[in-house]
Amino acid sequence: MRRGFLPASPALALILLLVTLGIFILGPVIAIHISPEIRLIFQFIAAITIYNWIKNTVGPGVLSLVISGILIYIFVIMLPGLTAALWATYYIVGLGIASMFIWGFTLFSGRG
Amino acid sequence: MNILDLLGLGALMEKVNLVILGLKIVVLVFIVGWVRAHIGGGRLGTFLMLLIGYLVLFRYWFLTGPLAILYLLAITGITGLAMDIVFTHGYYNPFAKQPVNPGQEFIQGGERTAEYKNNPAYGAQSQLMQRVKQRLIRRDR
Repeated sequence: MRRGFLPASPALALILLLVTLGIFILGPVIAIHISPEIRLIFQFIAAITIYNWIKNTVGPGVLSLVISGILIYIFVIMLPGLTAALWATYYIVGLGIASMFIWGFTLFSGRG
Repeated sequence: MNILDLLGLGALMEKVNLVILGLKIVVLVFIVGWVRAHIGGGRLGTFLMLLIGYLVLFRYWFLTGPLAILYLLAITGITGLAMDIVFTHGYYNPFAKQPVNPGQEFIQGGERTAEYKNNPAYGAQSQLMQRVKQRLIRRDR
């Protein structure tokens, strides 16, 4: 007996889940490629996040400045798209939004 | 513009080394943080940082690299997400049998279907109920 709301194959629900996750993850990536201002703001936020993380982990000092400088050069200046995708994934998982997607998926696929 | 260009990975093979270098520095940060938290930043701490850094980042990187990726996935909660998908049976399995609905007998006029009776779980359940009934009868006597 099929339950749930979607009168179709569960594979369609899985595709919908992947498309939704893709839109959420690729949204910031597309935004920083479209608008230079958004790219600058994102780079600023990412640089501050990296510096804060290094300062909390290693401790304040020259070493943390050097390490955070290298990491900011690699991830913020050289690979901003990858960093944006990872940032979006981290926030989707960390804030529990992905669990909401899974709940919706199980509901729509008739397994919930 | 394809998806790799969009992600900043257009010349993928050229940038893989850059990503690996970034991963190595992240692992170095974890090592330095761990040593400073447990031992301190003195001579012994610096020596241990250099030793562990050499062993982890260069000598045994073939082993510690994948472990570092798994560790990052674990602390960011992505493995937990995969566990959620597995526990909720969120994956699509076209060969899986449809689960038998326990309330089916009431829907279909009091008759259990053959699919329900042939389910091994039904046999185990009915045996368990028989045992419980016998035990209750014995207790009442």
